[in-house]
Amino acid sequence: MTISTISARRRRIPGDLVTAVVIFVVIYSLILAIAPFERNLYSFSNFVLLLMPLAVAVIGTSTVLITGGFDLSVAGTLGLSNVLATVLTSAYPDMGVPITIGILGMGLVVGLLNGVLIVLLGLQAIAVTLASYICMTGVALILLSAPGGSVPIEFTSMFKLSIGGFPAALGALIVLCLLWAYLSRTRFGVTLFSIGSDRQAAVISGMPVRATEVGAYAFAGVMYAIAGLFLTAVTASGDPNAGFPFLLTSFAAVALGMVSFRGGKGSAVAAVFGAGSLIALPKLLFGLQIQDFWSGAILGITILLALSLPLLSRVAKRRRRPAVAAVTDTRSRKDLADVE
Amino acid sequence: MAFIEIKNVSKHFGATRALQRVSLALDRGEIHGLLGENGAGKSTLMKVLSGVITPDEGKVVIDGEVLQHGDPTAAREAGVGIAFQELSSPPNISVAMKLCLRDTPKNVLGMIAQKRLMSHARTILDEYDAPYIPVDALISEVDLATKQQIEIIAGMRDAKRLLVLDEPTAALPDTNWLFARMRHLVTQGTSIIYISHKLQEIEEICSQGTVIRNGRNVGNFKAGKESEKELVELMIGRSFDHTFPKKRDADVRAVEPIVMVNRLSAGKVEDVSFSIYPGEVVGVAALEGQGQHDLFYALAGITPRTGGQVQITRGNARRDTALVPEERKAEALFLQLSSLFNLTVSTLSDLSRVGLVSKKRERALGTARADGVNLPHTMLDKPVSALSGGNQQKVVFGRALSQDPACLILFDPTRGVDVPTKVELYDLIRSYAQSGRAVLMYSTEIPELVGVCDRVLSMHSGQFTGEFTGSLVSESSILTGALNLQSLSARRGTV
Repeated sequence: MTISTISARRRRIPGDLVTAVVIFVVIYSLILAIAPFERNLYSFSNFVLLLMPLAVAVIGTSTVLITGGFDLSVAGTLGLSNVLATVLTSAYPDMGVPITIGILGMGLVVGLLNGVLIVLLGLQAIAVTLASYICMTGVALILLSAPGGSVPIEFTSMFKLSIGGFPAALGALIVLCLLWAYLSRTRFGVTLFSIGSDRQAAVISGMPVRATEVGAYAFAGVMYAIAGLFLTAVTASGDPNAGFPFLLTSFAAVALGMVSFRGGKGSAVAAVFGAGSLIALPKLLFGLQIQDFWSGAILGITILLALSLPLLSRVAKRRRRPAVAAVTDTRSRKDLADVE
Repeated sequence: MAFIEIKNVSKHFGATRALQRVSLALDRGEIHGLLGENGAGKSTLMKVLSGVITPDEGKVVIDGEVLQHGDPTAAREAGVGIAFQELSSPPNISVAMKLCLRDTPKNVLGMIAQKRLMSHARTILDEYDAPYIPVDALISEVDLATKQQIEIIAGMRDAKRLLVLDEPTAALPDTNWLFARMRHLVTQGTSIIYISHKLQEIEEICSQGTVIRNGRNVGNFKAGKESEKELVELMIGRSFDHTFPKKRDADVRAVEPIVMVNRLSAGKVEDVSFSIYPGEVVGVAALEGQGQHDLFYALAGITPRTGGQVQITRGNARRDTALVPEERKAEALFLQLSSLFNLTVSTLSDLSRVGLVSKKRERALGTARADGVNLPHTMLDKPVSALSGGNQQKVVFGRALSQDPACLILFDPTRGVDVPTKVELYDLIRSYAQSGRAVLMYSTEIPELVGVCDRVLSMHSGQFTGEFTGSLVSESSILTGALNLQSLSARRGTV
């Protein structure tokens, strides 16, 4: 084994990421081709802001999925973060930064709690995170009984900052993606993937399995809280049920990002592109003047097509192979007879 | 005081007494054989040593220090290295990562330094005389034997004082490398507990040993003092004749074959042709990774065929083929479910009327099948995971036979199975063939092929290199075919 083959192999970009990026690029280029009014920085900036809540949330969701876990609390944490931000900033308009930090802390605590219940007490992930979703939605309803409230412009502008026309949020998203890429190359990341692939083997190999799993839920909790803050910036109001749509879209985005629901495989960066495709698709349909109620059906078909891409490439490979086998005419029954 | 002392260790799981006051003492640099049927308590003892489980009583003293129980990290720090039989590497990490799990090179940011990791792993592999293992491959990409080899190297690296090897040759047929590494390790002052079913290996490598049965010490032996028969009787606690069933008398190849394979290609298999006749047990002998896996799994319809034809004359059989796969836990069994369920699940249509599964019929049929493979009825309601390896394999056999296949396909059917169960399985194989069906069998143990098969095909690099019948079915001739002569020296420079 020479060094060159090793480094060549290591630089191999995962197929999932390529697929997710290609799907996004295709959809977004079509939008640009069809709709002239999308071809400006302002529209792009709006797109990024619209994308942010989902994109940040799926970084968390896919991290948990990679460990083989499951996390429905995305909707609860996101909604609670939105309501807390609305209620607190209306009451204390000058306290934007401490409130932001406090909300991130809330996400961390919820994630840690999920992780402890699931990992240390051995409760089922779906049940625990479903309960914490319902519980947080309840708390959000206590704090804000109906959609509304007004968020001071100082707070929303903190998240909608633009530098030379470019949204600072895009920078934040890139930083989060880089953070994830960094984490996945640390021991924490390797452990994350190992657990999802074979938990027992990871335990026997002496990896810090439980700490890593709790860490994944905690990390996800913080991501959901950030997502809620960006949602608040976009809507400039609070809604105790704001998280609900994310319950399904975050998993749809993860599917479009080719992250394995069985664990052990996938990339949160690809899931972010999946989120991008998901947000861009309705724009494309609008540009094509397809009526809005088609979007669900088309979205579903897009997800199925994306998931079947690896299958199609495998079929194509198999088609090519018999020809090769037929040409290499080697030992047959006759040779065997000679051996006898 | 001995270097390693295991004193009166007991452990029970529910009503099962896995270990009852087991004691063992090893000198520094001693290789100690541990013999016992599956379910005798060997793996429980190993889990105590590795810190995975806490014993109810007793202690382990290593070089004067009492081992802290129930803490894998403490065991490792005390210098205990373990190579598990159930391979313990996550499949999606690289070989290098597995080897360097505890001393992963990192850069200043805390990220894993891949280049240093690879070169570090290569140094390790060179040091352990296995430079042919690719460090950058994923664990899932290397074959079973290599996985086991990596497992052993990782265990040896931890083993400053004690190494425990659990049936290492079940997946690693080449003992030369292993024994050389073991001998090297003991010169450095590490003691080794060597668990194996293969008595010849115990004789070859161990200076003395212990036999355990039903969780108790039942005897100690010195190498070369006891006969194989005596040891086996000690293991199973009764007299026992270690023989193979009588082979078929006449060559019945005049009749039409059941299986006709014509120029089959699949995976590593290239253009292979052969037939199996009614009543015949055909063996395949090969070194690890020569395409036998693809051949067997292609015939069972799992590995996709890329060329050629397979024609199976089903006759009055119910299915074309049934497979006893390589890894029973991963590929065959529903581990959490009962033996009864596992025995009957392949033939649900026998148990159901208008789609409803009848519990009564399930029990009747399952009981009959348990009788067919000599599985005690007390095992029927236990989850299969609670059974010993031998009994688990009986369940796998029972299910395969229940499908009444024209050709029974057995991939290393006695892997990790205790000696008495092996003999029962040999009888089952023979009697199935005698009922007029075909059997195709691969085994990592060539003596087993010699004992069981009417005809043996040797395989190398995806092709057959020889066919042996009658008196030619001998260890030496089959080995020549499996090694394919000159490729041997290129392989590892060993015989």
